[in-house]
Amino acid sequence: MPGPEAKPLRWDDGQWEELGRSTDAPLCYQCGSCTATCPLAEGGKLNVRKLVRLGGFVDGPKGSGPELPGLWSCTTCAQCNVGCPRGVDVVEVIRYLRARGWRRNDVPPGLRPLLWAEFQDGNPYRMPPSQRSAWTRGLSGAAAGSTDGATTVLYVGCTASYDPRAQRTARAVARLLAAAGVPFRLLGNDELCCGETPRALGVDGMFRELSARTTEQLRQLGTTRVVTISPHCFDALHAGLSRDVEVLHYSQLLDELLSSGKLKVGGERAGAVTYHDPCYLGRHHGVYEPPRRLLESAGAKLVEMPRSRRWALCCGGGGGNMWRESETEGRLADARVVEAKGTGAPALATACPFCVTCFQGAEGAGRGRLEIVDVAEVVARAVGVPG
Amino acid sequence: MTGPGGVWVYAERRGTAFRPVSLEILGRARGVADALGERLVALTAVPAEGAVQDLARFGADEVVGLVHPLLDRYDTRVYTDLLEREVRSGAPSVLFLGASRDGQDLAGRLAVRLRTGLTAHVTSVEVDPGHRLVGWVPGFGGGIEAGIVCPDRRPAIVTVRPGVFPLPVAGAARSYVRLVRPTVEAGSFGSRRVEFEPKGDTTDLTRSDVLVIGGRGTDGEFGRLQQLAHRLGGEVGATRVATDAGWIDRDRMIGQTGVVTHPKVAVVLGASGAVQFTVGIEKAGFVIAVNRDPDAPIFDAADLGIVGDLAPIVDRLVKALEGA
Repeated sequence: MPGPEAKPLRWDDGQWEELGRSTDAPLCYQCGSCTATCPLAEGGKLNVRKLVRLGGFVDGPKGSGPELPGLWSCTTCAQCNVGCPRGVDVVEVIRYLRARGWRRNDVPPGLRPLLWAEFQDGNPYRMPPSQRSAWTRGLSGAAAGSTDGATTVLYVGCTASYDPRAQRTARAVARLLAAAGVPFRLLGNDELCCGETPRALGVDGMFRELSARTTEQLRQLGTTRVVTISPHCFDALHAGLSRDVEVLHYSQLLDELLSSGKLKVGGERAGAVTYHDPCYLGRHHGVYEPPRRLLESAGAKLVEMPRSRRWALCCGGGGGNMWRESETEGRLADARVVEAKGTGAPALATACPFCVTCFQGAEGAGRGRLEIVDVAEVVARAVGVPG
Repeated sequence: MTGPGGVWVYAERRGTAFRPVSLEILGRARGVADALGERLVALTAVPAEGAVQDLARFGADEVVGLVHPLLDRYDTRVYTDLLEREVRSGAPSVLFLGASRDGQDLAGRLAVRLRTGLTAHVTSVEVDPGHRLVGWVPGFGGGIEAGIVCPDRRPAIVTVRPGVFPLPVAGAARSYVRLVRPTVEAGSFGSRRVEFEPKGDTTDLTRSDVLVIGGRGTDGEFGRLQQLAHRLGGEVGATRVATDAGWIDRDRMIGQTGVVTHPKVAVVLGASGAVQFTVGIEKAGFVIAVNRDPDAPIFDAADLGIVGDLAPIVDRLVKALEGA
């Protein structure tokens, strides 16, 4: 029974049909598998099943959208998609409902400045484009990127360009590509955001615009292959670039280079390590094995967490949450660090700069407690290049 | 009597004194009035006339005091009505307000009521050769600076960011003081004050030249940081981990979702240095980082780095500064 304060809601066929044209929401029969597996459902932060259904309702008196609790907290981790018996792409529904939020001017504070930053500076951090190449400091020779001829582009992305921690990952990847004799170009200060953040926030127009500009840039350079540092860029470029450009996550390329013998391990061998599957690499694209093979080639003893691969717990950073404050209570990264420590491994490896940042800031992580490393850095040490 | 025209400055009270930003504007507006060949008028609204006299010591040609016992606190509706009436009758060519919370509230409403332009949040003003007032506003995170004029409508309303002009020294009370006793009714207040409890921490970190910032590595020992900040004449800030842990007030969080600061010196203690934090000290003049971990990314963002345990380093710094 709704309480006296509950607003009367009215079903709106037109709105539901519109939702059905952009997503597969009409396939949903409200079984609740999504909510049962959603990491944010605990503590009542998000009820995915209910959100999908509410997509067909309007708020009676106002004729506008009803309140959609938790809509903007969703990390788009896609755990809901895994369990859905009807094969609904629930993340798509979330993005759609967010887009509707923008049309109705019903968005939480703090997101508009983010879009201005994307628009003005080409990155969500409000960092000057002129400093985008700062991460290349210390790189020389082939690792600094070739200037002509190379048809592979190392797409660094905003986080690896500006975050001092993630810059190291980018340098490790650049050095590994150089060590394997893979010629590659960098887009330098002209590199633009891939648009993943606007896309996850439901601002598809901005995402399309950014993709179109990058597509044009790559076309002019004659690029046939793009390698990304972040799984988020990997996902966005997959969705946004023209089909004739192959998009790879660095873990896929390094895996290929190691198995073909172009990269050889001979340096420091890694110890016991547990691996966290980034949502946008694993669940979104099914890339589960390459990072694991990389760790094992680097000599690591891989210890799995109980929730891994399709069931890996999200770090909490996706879906625009890197730029929003989350409640301290029940933060996903804290829970994941507890799981990682439970394996007994002294290090948690992952392959996404958002995951690294979230875990680094989590309770119980850090030097001497649980070392957070990126797979590329582990491989760099094993190959014997600085990383 | 106030003749038409003039450069007006609305002086805002905060407790028993005028807000520094109002006096800062008065100091700068003298030059503006002279360049425009106009009179400088300070306007204030106060509960008792004693306060009006204080304002006569900052170089204005005239001080207008709106005095009524009910004007002991700001109210959007009441103040908008009062100022609108004064501005309509005095017809100034420029009206300055501080970009304080109340000043911003008032300026926007006045601009709409008076159908004129508002240049908000300027960091400098000048009078151009065409005798127009130009307000400079940094936009898009400081990436560009826009010069804004209000060519046709009067008054040109301008709000000024606190701390951009020097605070003038009070001189002799030489302004002509005019008191106005407006009719103010309790019923016209949009809200009623039941109780007043000042917020404990009202520090504005963006105004501090020196910031001592603590992260996870402080283990919550912010007392030490306070001491150091005190010795350096600065303020204490924190990373998200530290505010989440409840070690310090959330208002002191620096970074993308906290405050973006631009101190001359930032001393960063025990923070790893994620970009979400470092964007908050991007514009610092000089960054000193102390961290136990020689690989901490914060060292990449620092001008000077010290590797070691925080407590003894901070204690030694405090001791050394005591002697200084």
